[in-house]
Amino acid sequence: MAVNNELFKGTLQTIILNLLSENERMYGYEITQKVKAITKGELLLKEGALYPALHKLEADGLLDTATEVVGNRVRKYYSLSKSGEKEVVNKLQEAKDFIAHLQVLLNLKSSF
Amino acid sequence: MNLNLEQLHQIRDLIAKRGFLEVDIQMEILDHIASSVEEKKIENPTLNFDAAVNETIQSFGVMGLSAFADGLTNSIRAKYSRLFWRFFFSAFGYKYVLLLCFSIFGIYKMQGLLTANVFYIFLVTGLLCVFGISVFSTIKPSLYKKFASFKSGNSFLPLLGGTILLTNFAMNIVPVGYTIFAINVQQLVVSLSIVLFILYFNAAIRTAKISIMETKSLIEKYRLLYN
Repeated sequence: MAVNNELFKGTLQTIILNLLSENERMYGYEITQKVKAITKGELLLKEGALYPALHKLEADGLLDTATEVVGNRVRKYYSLSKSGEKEVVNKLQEAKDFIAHLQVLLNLKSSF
Repeated sequence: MNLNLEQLHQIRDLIAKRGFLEVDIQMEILDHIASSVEEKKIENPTLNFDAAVNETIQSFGVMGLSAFADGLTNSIRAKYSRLFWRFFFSAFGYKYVLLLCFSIFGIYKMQGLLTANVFYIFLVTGLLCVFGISVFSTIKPSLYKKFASFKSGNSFLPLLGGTILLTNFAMNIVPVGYTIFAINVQQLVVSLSIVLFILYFNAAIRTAKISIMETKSLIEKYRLLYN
């Protein structure tokens, strides 16, 4: 299923930063597939949401990019910049705090 | 399996037919579609190329490809816009405050020393030079104009004309000889607008230069593949 965009929007940057902190560098399609694989196809990251988020992170100086010729085409790789490496820690903590509050608000039992 | 050049050309033509003509936008969409097609072909080797492309395009949904391209275009614009404003506001950092104040003071004093006509000649000559530099620095082969990066990065230069008009407006709006605490307000307003104009010009040129460098790098890779 494609996840509700509104739910995804607030955490999309954190997801991207976290994936890049674990994978050094990735290209757009690879990120969508990684999300699909990790969530066993439950969450689908749409291109219309992914690329604006990637470019915003790049414009904010959190990502570095490099274009390379791969398999007869030009591929743009995204990686964390120095600022991005610092920001990913903050973003993850923010997300964890948010999830904890959400669990309390929705009376969910902690599953981790 | 990797798609061959002919298949990549087909995808590129398909993207162009849908109205996405900027090369850097095409390149990013192309890599995404080609990666998806390659994966589909690995999962199902009997699937033919056209069917794999159609499946991929359909997976974007009705507005998918447009949303994808619009997202890319907007984010490239936003990237250069942020870059421009970062350059512009960097001049207000503590390192340059003295230089800024000195420039405003220098232009203010110059107006007092020169007659209005001579100062106006200096101003117009300066502005024409700025205009000439900006036009000269952005003259590039037509291929550059097919890149969203180039267009976005250079979009601030045409607005220079607006800042010239603002400076002129500032000169005319304040009455001649009007003073506050012995400061000639018109001369101060003109000094401020000229300094702001210079800062704007500096930020616009620096943003344009970065976009030209990025576009040049993309063109080299693009030529390597498709020429």
